[in-house]
Amino acid sequence: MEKNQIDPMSRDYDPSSIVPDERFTQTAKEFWITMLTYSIFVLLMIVNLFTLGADPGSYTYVLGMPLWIFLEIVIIIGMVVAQELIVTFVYKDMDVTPRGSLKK
Amino acid sequence: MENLTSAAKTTIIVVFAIYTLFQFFYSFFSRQAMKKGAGSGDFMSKFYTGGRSSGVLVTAMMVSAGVAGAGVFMGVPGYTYTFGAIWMVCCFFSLCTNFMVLGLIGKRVGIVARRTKSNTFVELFMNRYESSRVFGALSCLVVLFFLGAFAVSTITGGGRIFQILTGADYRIGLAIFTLLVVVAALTGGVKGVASAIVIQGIVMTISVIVLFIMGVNATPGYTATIQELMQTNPDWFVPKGIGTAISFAFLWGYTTFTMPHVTMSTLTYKDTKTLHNAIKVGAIVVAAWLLCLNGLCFTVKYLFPEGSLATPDLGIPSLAVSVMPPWAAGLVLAGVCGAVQSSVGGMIVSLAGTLVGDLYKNIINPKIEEDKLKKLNTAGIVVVALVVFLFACNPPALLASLITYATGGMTVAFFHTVLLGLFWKRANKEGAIAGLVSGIVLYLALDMGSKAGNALATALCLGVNPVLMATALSTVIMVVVCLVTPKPPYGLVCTWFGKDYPEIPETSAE
Repeated sequence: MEKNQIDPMSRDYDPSSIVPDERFTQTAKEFWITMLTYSIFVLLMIVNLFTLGADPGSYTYVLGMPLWIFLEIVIIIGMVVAQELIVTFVYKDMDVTPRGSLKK
Repeated sequence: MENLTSAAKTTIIVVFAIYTLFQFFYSFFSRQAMKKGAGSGDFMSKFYTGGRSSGVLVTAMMVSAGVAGAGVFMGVPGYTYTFGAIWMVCCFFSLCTNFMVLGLIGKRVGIVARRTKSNTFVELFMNRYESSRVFGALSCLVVLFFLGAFAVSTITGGGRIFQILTGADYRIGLAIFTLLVVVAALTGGVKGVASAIVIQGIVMTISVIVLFIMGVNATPGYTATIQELMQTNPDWFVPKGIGTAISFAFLWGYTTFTMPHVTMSTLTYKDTKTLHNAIKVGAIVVAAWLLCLNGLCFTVKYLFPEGSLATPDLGIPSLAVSVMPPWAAGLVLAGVCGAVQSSVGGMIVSLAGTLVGDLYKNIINPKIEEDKLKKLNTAGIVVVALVVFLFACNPPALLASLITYATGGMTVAFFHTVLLGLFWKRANKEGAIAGLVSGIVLYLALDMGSKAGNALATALCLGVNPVLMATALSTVIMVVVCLVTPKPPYGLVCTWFGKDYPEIPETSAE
């Protein structure tokens, strides 16, 4: 490619000189949001299990089931809703062909 | 179980036979679709990516069913039954499968796979690591060994459920699964397997919901069951081992994308709209499966007191035959088989792709002609399926531990090589090879060491699954090796990260 001054096989270059694809910038953002959301889900599940679920003798009950089980179900449904919202409002449509771009 | 009347068995078998025949019919129908030439490109890309035109349901089901195989029907309920409610919570970590595969790396892989014209997971990352044959060969071995083990354990689980529900030898079940998968794969490639997966996923969804309703109806009420259990088995509710919970959050969540038969879906989807909708549909479908199946753990524990099950992992199928009318038990059998076939179907296509496409075509003999490749590919599918079948004829007792071992192997090999490859410009082949090798070596050493009571290995694991520590350490090793070795070539980094990149010349197979 004449456009590139640097030989494609060269290993001596400044990585920051590569113009990033805007789609890659967006996917990196989506990556971190996804990781963060999942981490919050995991944290809530584990904390709930090991605090409210720790001692069967002192369980409180909601709708006939132990509070911690009720809360786990709430967290699970909450996570499903969170996925729907994030995919709808945070993820962006893009053209995934080799030289495509973000869809506005 | 023994108390099944022969009439009931017959009904179950008839329902299952109708389902099986329907699948055969459908496979041949989708063969026609492939012949009409949907999609573009050469044989391998058509076979393994279906012309990158998969729709919402296919993409969603491929990921969901790829994860929810025999494990959610048997392995995990078995662990929950034996070791307590903590396992039920662990199982829910696979709730976000679609999100954690398609959302994390789906778009990135989609774009670079199109840029590099890659048809398989290994081929794609071989390109990222400078077409290194060493990296390619090592990845192939990891996939063949660990994914192979995973396929064996999955199909074995299905075979045992078949045995319980029909009373027939479980090898007959294995043979039927294997045959269905081979027919679907040979007639329609990845598309054949994928369209079968959609039907299987739908049948599975219906059957778990029916099973849940009928299972709960057989008890005095859902919450009454839980409260009764609280009285009789309070210890069962006590969560033991926070390390276990953390380990499985990692193994069944963060690292789902390291499994080639699941990641395959990121190579085949059509566009981002499809991808988004697949995550949305997949989230709901997986939640329904997990809530119904895990929710039944209380019912199973209540209806089958300690010692009344042949082995703990037979809880769900035993429930099906004892509380359901035969036609519904037949439906559950079809659902379970659907789950098993779709997991195994994806795995066998992935394994054959690795064997023929990656190991043979890309590494051993790049100059092979297309005609020969076609034949070899057919042979590859049959051989892989046959090997899995033969291994499965000798079934392991506790399913989940084998599955965990298999996924662990893929995790330590691919977690860093995939993530750093996708998101870090500096990742190069030296680092990748070091990361992959050290990951596997550390995993095996830590796992065997801590099981044998070695103090150092046990201490290094910090109370969590050895996979975590092996992954963390090998990631550090990979980063260090990358930093002390030269940068990857400029053109390659442009292809994987840049807006503009040099087109790959047609002759760059080397």
